Amino acid sequence: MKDDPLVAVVRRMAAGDVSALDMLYRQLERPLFGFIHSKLNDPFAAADILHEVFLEVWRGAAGFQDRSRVRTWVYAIAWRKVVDEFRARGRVTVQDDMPDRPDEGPSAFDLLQTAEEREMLRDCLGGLKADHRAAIELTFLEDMSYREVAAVIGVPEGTVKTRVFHAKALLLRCLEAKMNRRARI
Amino acid sequence: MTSAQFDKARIAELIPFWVNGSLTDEEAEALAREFERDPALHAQVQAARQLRGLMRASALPERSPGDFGLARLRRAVAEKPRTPGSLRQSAAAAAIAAVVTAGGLSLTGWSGSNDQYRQAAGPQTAALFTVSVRDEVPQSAFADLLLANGLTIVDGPSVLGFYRLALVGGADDSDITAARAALERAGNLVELVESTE
Repeated sequence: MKDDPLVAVVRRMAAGDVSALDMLYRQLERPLFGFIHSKLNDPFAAADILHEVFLEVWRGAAGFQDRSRVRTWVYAIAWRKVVDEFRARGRVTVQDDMPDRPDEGPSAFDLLQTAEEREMLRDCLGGLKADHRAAIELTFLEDMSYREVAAVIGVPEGTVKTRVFHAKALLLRCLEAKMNRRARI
Repeated sequence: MTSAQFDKARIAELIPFWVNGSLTDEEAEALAREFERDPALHAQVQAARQLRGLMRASALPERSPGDFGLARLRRAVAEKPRTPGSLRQSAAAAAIAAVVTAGGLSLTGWSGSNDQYRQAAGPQTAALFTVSVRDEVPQSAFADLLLANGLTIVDGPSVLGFYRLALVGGADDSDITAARAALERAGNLVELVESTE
C-alpha cells in the first residue's frame, strides 16, 4: 500500500517516534471511537478499548507489513478487541432472520426525516447481529471497500458483500415495519 | 442459479460499494454498464444512497476521549517502553498496568460510587473532585484550567460526562480548598464540582 500516507507514520512509530503516534491518534481517534462505541454503547468501555488499540498499534508498529492500509490494520485490531469484549460480557447475538432478496425501493426512507425516525434506524441497527452491523457501518460510515472490511473483520470478501446486502435488506424491512406500526397508531 | 440471476445478485451486492465510491475502476465501469442496461437498478442505488445518508445523519455524536485520551496514551507509552516481552503481552493487561502506574489507582469500574476505586499508591493520588464540564467548552480550555491549578484527571469522562480529578504530587487541606475554589470560580467551564471524599 505505497499510496497510503499513514504507512510512513507507522514506520516512524516503529523507530520510536512518539510524535508519529500522536499524529496517527489525531487522524483516527474520532472515527475509531465512534466505531467502537457504536458496538458497545458504553463510552467508558469504548474509551478503554480505544486506548488499548493505540497501545497495541504502538507496540506492533515494527511488525506492520504494508500489505493492507494502516486504517484497515488499526480497525482490525479494534474489531478483535470488541469481539473479545462481547465474549467477556457473554453477549448473545440475535440470530437475524435473513430475508430473500427483496425488491429494494426508497419507500421506507421517504418519510425518514425526523429525530424520531432516526431513532427508529438506531433501533433497527441495534437489532442486527454484531458482525452484520459492523459490515454495514464500516461500509457506510467509514466508506471502506469490501476488501478493507474483509480484512478488518477477518472474513472472506464474498461474506462481507453478502453481510452488507443482508444488513441493508434487514434495515429496510425493520424500518418499514416500524413506519407501518406508527402509521396505525 | 442461472448466470443471469447470479449477475443480478452480484450487482446488488456491489451497489453499497458503488455508493461509497470504493470499487475499483474496473468494477465501477462494469457496474455503470449494468445500470445503463437496466434502469430499474437505479432504485436500488437510490435506496442504498439514502440508507447511507440516513446512517451518517443518525450516528450519535459521541464525546471521544480526544486530548485526554492522547495524554493517557502518552503516559502509558512513557511508563512502559517497548520491549520484546511487552510485544507479547496482551494489550488488555498492558492497558490495565498503564492505568495503575499512571493514575496510582486500580480501576474496577465506574458507576458513580466512590468505593469502586482502590488506592494502589497512597492517598495522595485518590480522586478529590468529581466535575462536569459544560458542553460547549473545548478540551484545551479545560486542560488549561487543570494545568493552571495542578490538577490531573484520574478518570473520565464517565457515561454521564463526569471527570474525577486529583492534585498532582499530593495535597494538603489548603491545596484541596484552593483547588476547589479555583474550579468553582471557573463556572464558565465547569458546571458542577463535588468532593469525592
